[in-house]
Amino acid sequence: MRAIIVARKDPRKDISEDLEEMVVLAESAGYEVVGTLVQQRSIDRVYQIGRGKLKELKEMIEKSEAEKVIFLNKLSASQIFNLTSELKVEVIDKFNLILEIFARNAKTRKAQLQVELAKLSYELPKARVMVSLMKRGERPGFKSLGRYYDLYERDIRRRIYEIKRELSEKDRISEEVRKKRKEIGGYLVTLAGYTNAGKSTLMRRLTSKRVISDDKLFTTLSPSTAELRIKGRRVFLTDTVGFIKDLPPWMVAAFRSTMDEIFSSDLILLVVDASEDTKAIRRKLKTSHEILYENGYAGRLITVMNKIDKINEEELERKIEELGNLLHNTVAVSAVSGEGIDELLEKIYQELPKWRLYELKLPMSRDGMKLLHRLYEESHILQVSFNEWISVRLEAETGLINKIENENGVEVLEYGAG
Amino acid sequence: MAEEVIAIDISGRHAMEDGTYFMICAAVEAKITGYSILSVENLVIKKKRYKNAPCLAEILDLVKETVRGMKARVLISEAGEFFNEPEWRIGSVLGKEVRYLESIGERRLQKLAHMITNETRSLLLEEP
Ligand SMILES: Nc1nc2c(ncn2[C@@H]2O[C@H](COP(=O)(O)OP(=O)(O)OP(=O)(O)O)[C@@H](O)[C@H]2O)c(=O)[nH]1
Repeated sequence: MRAIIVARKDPRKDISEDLEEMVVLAESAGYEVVGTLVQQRSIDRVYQIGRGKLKELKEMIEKSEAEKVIFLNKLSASQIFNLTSELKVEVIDKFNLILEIFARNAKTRKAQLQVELAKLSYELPKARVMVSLMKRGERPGFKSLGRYYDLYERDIRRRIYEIKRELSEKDRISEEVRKKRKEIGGYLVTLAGYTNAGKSTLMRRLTSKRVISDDKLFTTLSPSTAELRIKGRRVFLTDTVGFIKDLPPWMVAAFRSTMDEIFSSDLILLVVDASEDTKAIRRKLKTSHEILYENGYAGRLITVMNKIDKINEEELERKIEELGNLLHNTVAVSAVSGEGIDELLEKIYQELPKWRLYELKLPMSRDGMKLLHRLYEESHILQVSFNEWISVRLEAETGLINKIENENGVEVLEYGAG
Repeated sequence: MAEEVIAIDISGRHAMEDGTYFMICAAVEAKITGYSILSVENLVIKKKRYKNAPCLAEILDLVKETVRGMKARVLISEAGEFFNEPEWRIGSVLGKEVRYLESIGERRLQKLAHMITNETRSLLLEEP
């Protein structure tokens, strides 16, 4: 769909970066940006921009056959109403656009609910104005809707209530799942970064040829999480909504639980699009760091420079040099070609808490078999042999071995560092 | 990537009861990455009293004195420390590359410097 981006800027304010970001956002939402229009002036209450500029915009729309206008500025309900009436195309603002992007990426029920909640929270204050404008008869067909506004606002409130209830139930369940994953020695890894950095593609690449658990308990509840095993260690990898600068509080609130999931993970893979120019990468890294820091993230971090298939080695080296102070534990990959993926897996492995090597003797009995089964789930079995007893060589977390040691007939011969 | 930087923090921006200012400036020289503090190499703390609220030039003098002899090329701080003046302006006065906080590593080091000035100031003010 063809779209025009419009921005009103206050004098002396530099919005070039915000404008660049808007174009990228619009493109990642699937629009073809056919023009941008900037006006420097104070806010116009009716149209946000001035009348002269409005005329210019109208001509631009006709010429380019644009079907949508996207404002960088936050629009009030009456401005949207007035602009739509005047321009005869759909008009949205930056926040609607962000919601569209989130909606596109919302594949799970939970994500869809979160998007709807954010949308409704944004709509609610507008509902009143919108309906009273419609009632004034400026749009034929709405005249008869005497009590429309009351109904509309009440409906929105009710729906918000329902969503919140369903979400809190979902949060409770995912919290339990997370606990369970930790209990069995799983390691929680989250893909984070700006929208369009390639998180989903990387997620698919990382989980494609690895052994993925068919353990339905873990996969059905949250399809955005997949399990992979790296050298026998269980890693739960979660894809997340993209970071975006200056998200308004109502939007942050709607995505709170997803955000909290990011901030409580053991390891974050901070993904950036290395093919962008250094200035853009720097800006995005800065924002990502700010968001992580402000939310008290204290886990581990790997910086992933993605899409290196689009640039040459020299360019990559220069960018790494220029971005120096914002980098940590950096690895360069291409989620599309697969280059660097093994190195990334190795880096993730290096970040895992160290396990130790053990040799165990389990009784040759039903109980012993049960224990063996548990060990297959929660540790990395290297070798098993069955004689009068079951001897097992494995790598495991010390805590697990301490627990098992207390069982009847189990002998532990420690072996050394893993 | 590892980099050697100096984090600067100044406490005591508010006037004391007698209307004077008691400021503590700390410079922490450290090796950091974009995410963590690898090692602290050097720490200098200076105190100074002012009759009136110090102006930018006085703040810059205090900082210069504190970082004297430190060899790291880059100095990091919050923008507010230098009245939100552009980084290059402050940098040219101090003879260092000045960078306002960007990475988590920088923020962590800055927090360390801030805790040092805060605690030092409280301790010194408690003294009989
Ligand atoms: N050339 C190239 N393109 C890539 C690579 N990784 C991802 N892409 C492309 O970049 C675009 C965005 O990728 P996604 O995986 O959807 O990005 P994302 O970070 O998940 O984006 P959001 O879901 O919006 O947060 C897609 O068109 C991908 O095909 C890569 O390594 N090389």
